[in-house]
Amino acid sequence: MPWVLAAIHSENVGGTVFTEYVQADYRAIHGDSGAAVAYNRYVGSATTDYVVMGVQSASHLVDEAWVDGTSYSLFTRVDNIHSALGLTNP
Amino acid sequence: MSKRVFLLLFFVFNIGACSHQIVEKKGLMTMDITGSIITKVESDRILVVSNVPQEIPSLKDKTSKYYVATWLNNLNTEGLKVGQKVKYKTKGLTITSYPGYVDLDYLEVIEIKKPEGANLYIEDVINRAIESNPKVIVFIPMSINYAATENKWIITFIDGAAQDKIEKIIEITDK
Repeated sequence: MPWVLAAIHSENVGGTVFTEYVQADYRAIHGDSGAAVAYNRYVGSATTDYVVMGVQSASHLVDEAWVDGTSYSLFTRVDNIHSALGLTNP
Repeated sequence: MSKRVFLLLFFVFNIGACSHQIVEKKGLMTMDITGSIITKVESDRILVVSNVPQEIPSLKDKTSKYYVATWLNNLNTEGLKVGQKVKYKTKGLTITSYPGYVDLDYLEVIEIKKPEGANLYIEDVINRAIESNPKVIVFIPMSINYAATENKWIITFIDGAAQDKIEKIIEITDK
Protein backbone atom coordinates (compact mmCIF):
# COMPACT_ATOMS: atom_id res chain seq x y z
CA MET A 1 0.00 0.00 0.00
CA PRO A 2 1.42 3.41 -0.93
CA TRP A 3 2.18 5.94 1.80
CA VAL A 4 2.36 9.70 1.94
CA LEU A 5 5.94 10.54 2.89
CA ALA A 6 5.58 14.31 3.25
CA ALA A 7 2.44 16.43 3.09
CA ILE A 8 4.38 19.52 2.03
CA HIS A 9 7.46 18.97 -0.08
CA SER A 10 9.64 21.32 -2.12
CA GLU A 11 12.29 20.38 -4.67
CA ASN A 12 14.59 22.16 -7.07
CA VAL A 13 14.30 20.92 -10.65
CA GLY A 14 16.77 22.45 -13.07
CA GLY A 15 16.73 25.74 -11.18
CA THR A 16 12.97 25.82 -10.77
CA VAL A 17 11.72 25.22 -7.25
CA PHE A 18 8.63 23.04 -7.04
CA THR A 19 6.72 23.89 -3.88
CA GLU A 20 3.80 22.49 -1.93
CA TYR A 21 3.89 19.08 -3.50
CA VAL A 22 2.91 15.93 -1.67
CA GLN A 23 5.60 13.27 -1.60
CA ALA A 24 4.43 9.66 -1.70
CA ASP A 25 5.84 6.25 -2.50
CA TYR A 26 3.39 5.04 -5.16
CA ARG A 27 4.97 4.11 -8.45
CA ALA A 28 4.53 6.41 -11.41
CA ILE A 29 5.95 6.09 -14.90
CA HIS A 30 6.31 8.20 -18.01
CA GLY A 31 2.87 9.22 -19.16
CA ASP A 32 1.31 9.33 -15.69
CA SER A 33 1.54 13.13 -15.30
CA GLY A 34 -1.95 14.55 -15.10
CA ALA A 35 -3.44 11.38 -13.68
CA ALA A 36 -5.59 11.63 -10.58
CA VAL A 37 -4.04 10.46 -7.34
CA ALA A 38 -6.90 9.08 -5.31
CA TYR A 39 -7.89 6.72 -2.53
CA ASN A 40 -11.01 5.02 -1.24
CA ARG A 41 -12.14 6.62 2.05
CA TYR A 42 -14.30 4.54 4.34
CA VAL A 43 -17.48 6.46 5.16
CA GLY A 44 -19.24 3.77 7.16
CA SER A 45 -21.78 1.06 6.44
CA ALA A 46 -19.35 -0.82 4.22
CA THR A 47 -19.20 2.14 1.86
CA THR A 48 -16.29 4.13 0.51
CA ASP A 49 -15.92 7.42 -1.27
CA TYR A 50 -13.42 7.82 -4.09
CA VAL A 51 -11.40 10.85 -3.01
CA VAL A 52 -9.06 12.63 -5.40
CA MET A 53 -6.10 14.07 -3.49
CA GLY A 54 -4.27 15.58 -6.41
CA VAL A 55 -2.64 15.12 -9.79
CA GLN A 56 0.60 13.25 -10.54
CA SER A 57 3.47 15.55 -11.55
CA ALA A 58 6.91 14.01 -11.21
CA SER A 59 8.84 11.09 -9.79
CA HIS A 60 12.32 10.54 -8.54
CA LEU A 61 13.54 7.60 -10.60
CA VAL A 62 17.00 6.09 -10.76
CA ASP A 63 18.09 6.12 -14.40
CA GLU A 64 14.48 5.77 -15.55
CA ALA A 65 13.71 2.93 -13.16
CA TRP A 66 11.72 2.81 -9.97
CA VAL A 67 13.86 1.68 -7.03
CA ASP A 68 11.97 0.74 -3.86
CA GLY A 69 13.17 2.73 -0.89
CA THR A 70 14.81 5.40 -3.04
CA SER A 71 12.23 6.46 -5.59
CA TYR A 72 9.21 8.56 -4.76
CA SER A 73 6.47 10.47 -6.55
CA LEU A 74 5.19 14.02 -6.21
CA PHE A 75 1.66 15.15 -6.82
CA THR A 76 -0.01 18.53 -6.89
CA ARG A 77 -2.60 18.95 -4.16
CA VAL A 78 -6.14 19.22 -5.46
CA ASP A 79 -6.87 22.24 -3.22
CA ASN A 80 -3.98 24.11 -4.86
CA ILE A 81 -5.41 23.27 -8.29
CA HIS A 82 -8.80 24.57 -7.24
CA SER A 83 -7.23 27.70 -5.84
CA ALA A 84 -5.10 28.36 -8.93
CA LEU A 85 -8.06 27.92 -11.28
CA GLY A 86 -10.62 29.68 -9.10
CA LEU A 87 -12.68 26.53 -8.70
CA THR A 88 -14.72 25.20 -5.81
CA ASN A 89 -15.24 21.62 -4.76
CA PRO A 90 -18.98 20.93 -4.45
CA MET B 1 25.74 23.00 -18.95
CA SER B 2 27.85 22.29 -15.95
CA LYS B 3 31.58 21.85 -16.34
CA ARG B 4 31.18 18.36 -14.90
CA VAL B 5 28.76 17.23 -17.62
CA PHE B 6 30.93 18.76 -20.33
CA LEU B 7 34.01 16.94 -19.12
CA LEU B 8 32.07 13.74 -18.86
CA LEU B 9 30.75 14.08 -22.39
CA PHE B 10 34.22 14.82 -23.70
CA PHE B 11 35.51 11.75 -21.95
CA VAL B 12 32.91 9.32 -23.14
CA PHE B 13 32.97 10.54 -26.72
CA ASN B 14 36.59 9.64 -26.81
CA ILE B 15 36.36 6.24 -25.25
CA GLY B 16 32.86 5.43 -26.54
CA ALA B 17 32.19 1.76 -26.25
CA CYS B 18 31.81 -0.15 -29.49
CA SER B 19 29.05 -2.56 -30.34
CA HIS B 20 30.07 -4.57 -33.36
CA GLN B 21 27.23 -7.00 -33.17
CA ILE B 22 25.82 -7.76 -36.57
CA VAL B 23 24.07 -11.07 -36.99
CA GLU B 24 23.72 -12.43 -40.52
CA LYS B 25 20.98 -14.88 -41.41
CA LYS B 26 19.78 -15.78 -44.90
CA GLY B 27 21.38 -12.72 -46.43
CA LEU B 28 19.82 -10.39 -43.89
CA MET B 29 22.15 -8.59 -41.53
CA THR B 30 20.57 -7.61 -38.20
CA MET B 31 22.03 -4.68 -36.27
CA ASP B 32 22.00 -4.74 -32.48
CA ILE B 33 20.04 -1.62 -31.59
CA THR B 34 18.60 -2.95 -28.35
CA GLY B 35 18.66 -0.14 -25.81
CA SER B 36 18.34 3.62 -25.98
CA ILE B 37 18.38 5.59 -29.23
CA ILE B 38 18.49 9.33 -29.82
CA THR B 39 15.50 10.33 -31.96
CA LYS B 40 15.56 14.13 -31.69
CA VAL B 41 18.37 16.60 -31.11
CA GLU B 42 17.87 20.22 -30.06
CA SER B 43 20.34 22.82 -28.84
CA ASP B 44 20.31 21.82 -25.19
CA ARG B 45 18.38 18.57 -25.02
CA ILE B 46 17.89 15.25 -26.77
CA LEU B 47 14.96 12.86 -26.98
CA VAL B 48 16.02 9.33 -26.15
CA VAL B 49 13.72 6.33 -26.57
CA SER B 50 14.18 2.77 -25.42
CA ASN B 51 13.05 -0.24 -27.42
CA VAL B 52 13.14 -2.46 -24.34
CA PRO B 53 9.58 -3.01 -23.10
CA GLN B 54 8.77 -2.15 -19.48
CA GLU B 55 5.93 -3.47 -17.36
CA ILE B 56 3.28 -0.99 -16.31
CA PRO B 57 3.40 -1.32 -12.52
CA SER B 58 -0.17 -0.24 -11.84
CA LEU B 59 -1.75 -2.81 -14.13
CA LYS B 60 -2.55 -6.36 -13.14
CA ASP B 61 -2.35 -7.30 -16.81
CA LYS B 62 1.38 -7.90 -17.12
CA THR B 63 1.16 -8.27 -20.90
CA SER B 64 0.72 -4.51 -21.32
CA LYS B 65 4.04 -2.78 -21.87
CA TYR B 66 5.34 0.70 -22.31
CA TYR B 67 8.53 2.11 -23.75
CA VAL B 68 10.55 4.79 -21.99
CA ALA B 69 10.91 8.05 -23.90
CA THR B 70 12.62 10.98 -22.22
CA TRP B 71 13.93 14.41 -23.03
CA LEU B 72 17.37 14.59 -21.46
CA ASN B 73 18.14 18.17 -20.45
CA ASN B 74 21.24 19.95 -19.29
CA LEU B 75 23.74 19.00 -21.99
CA ASN B 76 25.68 20.36 -24.91
CA THR B 77 24.31 18.46 -27.89
CA GLU B 78 27.19 19.25 -30.19
CA GLY B 79 28.32 16.05 -31.89
CA LEU B 80 25.17 14.14 -31.01
CA LYS B 81 23.06 12.78 -33.87
CA VAL B 82 19.66 11.23 -34.36
CA GLY B 83 20.03 7.47 -34.54
CA GLN B 84 22.94 7.13 -32.14
CA LYS B 85 22.70 4.42 -29.53
CA VAL B 86 23.47 5.68 -26.04
CA LYS B 87 23.75 4.75 -22.40
CA TYR B 88 23.00 7.41 -19.83
CA LYS B 89 22.41 8.27 -16.22
CA THR B 90 19.98 10.86 -14.96
CA LYS B 91 19.76 13.02 -11.89
CA GLY B 92 16.90 14.51 -9.95
CA LEU B 93 13.22 14.44 -10.67
CA THR B 94 11.64 13.06 -13.81
CA ILE B 95 8.60 14.94 -15.04
CA THR B 96 6.37 11.98 -15.79
CA SER B 97 4.79 13.20 -18.98
CA TYR B 98 5.25 11.19 -22.18
CA PRO B 99 7.95 11.78 -23.22
CA GLY B 100 9.31 12.59 -19.78
CA TYR B 101 11.82 15.28 -18.87
CA VAL B 102 14.90 14.83 -16.70
CA ASP B 103 18.37 16.28 -16.27
CA LEU B 104 21.25 14.30 -17.68
CA ASP B 105 24.12 13.25 -15.47
CA TYR B 106 26.19 11.07 -17.82
CA LEU B 107 26.01 10.08 -21.48
CA GLU B 108 27.91 7.48 -23.44
CA VAL B 109 27.57 7.01 -27.18
CA ILE B 110 27.79 3.41 -28.32
CA GLU B 111 29.10 3.01 -31.82
CA ILE B 112 27.22 0.65 -34.11
CA LYS B 113 29.32 -0.39 -37.07
CA LYS B 114 27.58 -0.45 -40.43
CA PRO B 115 27.59 -3.70 -42.35
CA GLU B 116 30.37 -4.25 -44.85
CA GLY B 117 29.34 -2.95 -48.26
CA ALA B 118 26.57 -0.69 -46.96
CA ASN B 119 26.59 2.98 -47.87
CA LEU B 120 24.43 4.32 -45.07
CA TYR B 121 25.29 4.42 -41.41
CA ILE B 122 22.73 3.27 -38.84
CA GLU B 123 22.23 6.89 -37.78
CA ASP B 124 21.33 7.86 -41.37
CA VAL B 125 18.91 4.96 -41.66
CA ILE B 126 17.08 5.82 -38.44
CA ASN B 127 17.02 9.52 -39.32
CA ARG B 128 15.48 8.80 -42.73
CA ALA B 129 12.95 6.44 -41.20
CA ILE B 130 11.87 9.14 -38.75
CA GLU B 131 11.65 11.80 -41.46
CA SER B 132 9.55 9.45 -43.58
CA ASN B 133 7.01 9.10 -40.78
CA PRO B 134 6.24 12.62 -39.57
CA LYS B 135 2.91 11.57 -38.04
CA VAL B 136 4.59 9.23 -35.59
CA ILE B 137 4.73 11.13 -32.30
CA VAL B 138 7.36 9.09 -30.50
CA PHE B 139 9.32 7.04 -33.03
CA ILE B 140 10.85 3.96 -31.47
CA PRO B 141 13.05 1.85 -33.76
CA MET B 142 12.61 -1.80 -32.82
CA SER B 143 14.88 -3.55 -35.33
CA ILE B 144 17.10 -2.73 -38.27
CA ASN B 145 18.09 -5.22 -40.95
CA TYR B 146 20.25 -4.73 -44.00
CA ALA B 147 19.56 -6.77 -47.13
CA ALA B 148 22.74 -6.45 -49.15
CA THR B 149 21.46 -8.25 -52.22
CA GLU B 150 18.45 -5.95 -52.43
CA ASN B 151 20.44 -2.88 -51.48
CA LYS B 152 17.93 -1.85 -48.83
CA TRP B 153 17.37 -1.44 -45.13
CA ILE B 154 14.30 -2.79 -43.37
CA ILE B 155 13.30 -0.99 -40.19
CA THR B 156 10.53 -1.98 -37.82
CA PHE B 157 9.22 0.66 -35.45
CA ILE B 158 6.36 1.58 -33.16
CA ASP B 159 4.82 4.84 -32.01
CA GLY B 160 5.47 4.92 -28.26
CA ALA B 161 2.64 7.43 -27.80
CA ALA B 162 0.05 5.32 -29.62
CA GLN B 163 -2.44 3.16 -27.75
CA ASP B 164 -1.60 0.14 -29.87
CA LYS B 165 2.04 -0.77 -30.01
CA ILE B 166 1.79 -2.38 -33.42
CA GLU B 167 5.10 -2.72 -35.22
CA LYS B 168 5.26 -1.12 -38.63
CA ILE B 169 7.84 -1.65 -41.35
CA ILE B 170 9.63 0.82 -43.55
CA GLU B 171 12.20 0.10 -46.24
CA ILE B 172 14.97 2.51 -47.15
CA THR B 173 17.22 2.23 -50.16
CA ASP B 174 20.90 2.10 -49.29
CA LYS B 175 22.09 5.15 -51.17
